[in-house]
Amino acid sequence: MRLAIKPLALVGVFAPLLILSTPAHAPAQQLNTIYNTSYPSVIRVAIRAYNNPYGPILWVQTVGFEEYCADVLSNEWLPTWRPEALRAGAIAVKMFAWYHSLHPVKTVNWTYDVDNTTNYQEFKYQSGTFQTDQAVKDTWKIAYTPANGEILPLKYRSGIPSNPNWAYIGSDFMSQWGSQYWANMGNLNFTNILGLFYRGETIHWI
Amino acid sequence: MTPIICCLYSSPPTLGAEVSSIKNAAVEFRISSPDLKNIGGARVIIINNKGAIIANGVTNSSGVWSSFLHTEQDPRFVNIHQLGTVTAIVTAVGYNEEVVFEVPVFPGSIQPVTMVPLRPSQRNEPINDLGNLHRHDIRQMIDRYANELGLAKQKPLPGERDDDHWSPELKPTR
Repeated sequence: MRLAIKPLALVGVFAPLLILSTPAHAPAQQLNTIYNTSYPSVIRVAIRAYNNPYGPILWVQTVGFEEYCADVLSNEWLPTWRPEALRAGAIAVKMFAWYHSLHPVKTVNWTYDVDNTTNYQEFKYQSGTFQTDQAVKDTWKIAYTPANGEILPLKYRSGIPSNPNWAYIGSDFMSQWGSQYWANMGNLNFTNILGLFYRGETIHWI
Repeated sequence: MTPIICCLYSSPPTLGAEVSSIKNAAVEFRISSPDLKNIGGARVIIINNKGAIIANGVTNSSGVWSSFLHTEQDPRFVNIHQLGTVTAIVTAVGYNEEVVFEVPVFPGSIQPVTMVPLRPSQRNEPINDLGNLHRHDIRQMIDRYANELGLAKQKPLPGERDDDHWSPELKPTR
């Protein structure tokens, strides 16, 4: 869910109106940005049977956040793909997970941030490869957000193999196969690959 | 007769790859428990597509066992990914036996296995699981056979770009 955020200057001008129009008991909604929010140290992963999106939850596994990202990337991007495609994927995987760690799911029996299936991102514990682990490390200090730094999920889909995946360009959904195509055929770096698919977000060093 | 002989000898482009081998591919097994403890001393047994044991070994203190494996190319993945597939049986003290089918074998392949602990007063039976075939390889395998059979595509989902899904229907013949 995207929150409607006013630029800071406008908030300043209309601040009194906002205060008057807000019920006294309403909790203040704090915007989670890269400026006021650190990476989580861990993430809670609901493990569904057979990595099946409709499988029952067997348990909830608490995993180090960086380890989670590494053990997702190897399953969502092919480890044999170009390093720049893997780096673009690493940033998408991390931003998606960071957002969901801030919006946990609570059910009668479980509380979790993500599950291990394509309901969120496919996760298999200890499945990281050298190439995908490296891509996560290379981009660990980089976030990809709108100008106000809001932490939002970068969404992605498979797309068509060995194809530029034009339908995804500027769609706010990255094509995984498209990232490989543009890294391979267009020789683009991960910043340019992300810029092809996502509108309005830019690189931020954190 | 000559043209017929030519046809008999012309093989499809994938046939050569079907009989190829995956030689000396280093495959790493990572054995752990649901609470993220690495399991050292676990025995991993590798069985090939002919039912023979081709390797076995014990994990180190980090729960890792690696082996160079020699398998045949899995014909289902010809022209998609040069890989073979084997079956692994894993045993460890305090855990149910676990069988992992379709473990992919290619250089750099990694197969994590999460063991299920033995529990008192519970049914403790072998667990079976599927190997770590990559989702993109699986999708390409589906595409290959759907194309071969001539399946038609489903109607796209509204608002969804990833709408490349096969239907059970065959394409209409011309």
